[in-house]
Amino acid sequence: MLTLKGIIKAYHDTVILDIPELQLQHHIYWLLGGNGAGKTTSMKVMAGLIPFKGDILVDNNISCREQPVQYRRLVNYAEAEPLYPGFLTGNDLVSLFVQTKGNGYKDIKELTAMLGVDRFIHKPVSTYSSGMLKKLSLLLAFTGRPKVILLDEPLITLDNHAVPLLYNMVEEFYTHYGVTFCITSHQQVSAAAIQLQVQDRNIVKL
Amino acid sequence: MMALSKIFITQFYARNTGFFLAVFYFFFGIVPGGQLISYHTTLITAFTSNIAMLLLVLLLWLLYTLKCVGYVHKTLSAKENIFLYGTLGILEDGPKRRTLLRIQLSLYSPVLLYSIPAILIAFKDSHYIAAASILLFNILMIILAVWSYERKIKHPGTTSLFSTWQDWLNRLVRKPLWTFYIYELLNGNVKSLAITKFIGAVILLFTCTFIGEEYDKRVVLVGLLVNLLMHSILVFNHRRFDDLYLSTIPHLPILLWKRYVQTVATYFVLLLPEYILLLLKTNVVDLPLFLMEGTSVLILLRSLLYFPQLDQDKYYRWVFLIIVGVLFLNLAYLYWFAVVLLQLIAFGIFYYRYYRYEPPLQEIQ
Repeated sequence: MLTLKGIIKAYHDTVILDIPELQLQHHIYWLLGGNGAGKTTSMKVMAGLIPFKGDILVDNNISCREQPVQYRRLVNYAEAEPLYPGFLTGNDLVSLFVQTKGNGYKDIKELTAMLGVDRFIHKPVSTYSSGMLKKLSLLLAFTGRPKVILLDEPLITLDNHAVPLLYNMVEEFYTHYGVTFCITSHQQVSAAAIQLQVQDRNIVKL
Repeated sequence: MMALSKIFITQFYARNTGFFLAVFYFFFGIVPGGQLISYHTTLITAFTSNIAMLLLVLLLWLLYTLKCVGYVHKTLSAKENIFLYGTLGILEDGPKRRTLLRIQLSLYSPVLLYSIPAILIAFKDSHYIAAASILLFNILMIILAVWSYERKIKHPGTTSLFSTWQDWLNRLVRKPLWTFYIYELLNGNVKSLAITKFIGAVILLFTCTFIGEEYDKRVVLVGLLVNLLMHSILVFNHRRFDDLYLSTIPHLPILLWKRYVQTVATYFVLLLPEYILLLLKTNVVDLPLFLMEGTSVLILLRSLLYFPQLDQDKYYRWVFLIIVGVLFLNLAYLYWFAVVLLQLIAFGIFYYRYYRYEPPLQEIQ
């Protein structure tokens, strides 16, 4: 599903990630690691958000480097601490994502209502609490028809009502639509999740 | 009252020092001291004897009232001032209204101080309707403002008419990607936008005065380039805005040429006031050239910023270099060559650098 080849990510002269090869088959992965181990950097690299050496392939044929647009259509990403311009509404962002990523596996209105985002979607983002922002960023990660969804700390700031909803969405997208998940979290999101760990700048399966 | 005075009144005047200095200069700085009284008497007579002028003055005072009301509401909504609901909010109606009235009178005092002599002069000149209108208008402005403050304190969670209207507009209009930075300038950076536009307009108008009987577009282009120099600050801030708030946008599956066109559209809209000004002041046939050259310079400056090591100092060195380079091409009549060259370099850098760009760490932190 996702193949990382010869990944090196460095800031100035300090190497943060050095992953010779990693293959993630269709599954739910739980990425572990201490503070500052490089979990978020790993997620951003896999999302193609920051430059790195090496390449990442989806289904062994769509390259992050060679086909950046197709790659971004197949890999979605939700940030740990999303930040958007305060004047935008949730609807502005959802429209932009739907317009660029295309129709999703599920109707966007249904997903919006399921996460409870419909109650504030027309309000400017500046009026959102951190939990509302988090729900919006998770909703955006489920737009389009991705093969991989990367969720960085999806549970922080979510209320008790939203946590089981997210668990269900992950299970449903994994089971019914064949989506692979890679999730960083201090709590396990799925009982069947395969554990990965950032160890000595490499990502290893536990 | 001392604490309230600090929160509402001192802060208001401190934050608007620039505004009040400009107003003060207009009213008291542009005429010699000996002519001040006759200057103001003439001004007051002008607007109390003419209904159109009077309406214009009342409109300006209404805008000032809205500024005061907006400030008080914003202050009441600030997290650090939540304690006001538990202190000011629990006062009896009488003392509470008197406190709010004192706040409003203090904020509104510049208008009141000017209104009193205006009413007296209008009355002396037998312009009774004008005198009564000013008196009633001011009473109304004070009562309505105090009423809105009291309502806000009683119902802190209620949405104002403005936000209801904004909600309606948000449902109706979706903001496309290329408008994001324009919205940011209009929402969070109005001051820098206004200063750039004002000084930029003065530069263009000043340049247009040099157009002789034989029209030479190069004169206008010199003014446009100096104007673009002003805009280079806004372009630099554009990168910071993208880095801070739109870090996920590179993750969207958008073709690079579309991203480039969208950025060009942003700068085209940003320069729209300049183009309108040039349309009015110069030869309409040359407008496409001004339009292309202006937008091309700005998009090249933005593309350069995809080199993360380009800090402010290095950036401005490049800005001067590009402006001087284009100036020489213009002087040599190579305007369209300059446009093509700017676009080619801008697109080349954009294409090569967009996915390789990573925001400088200190900006994100």
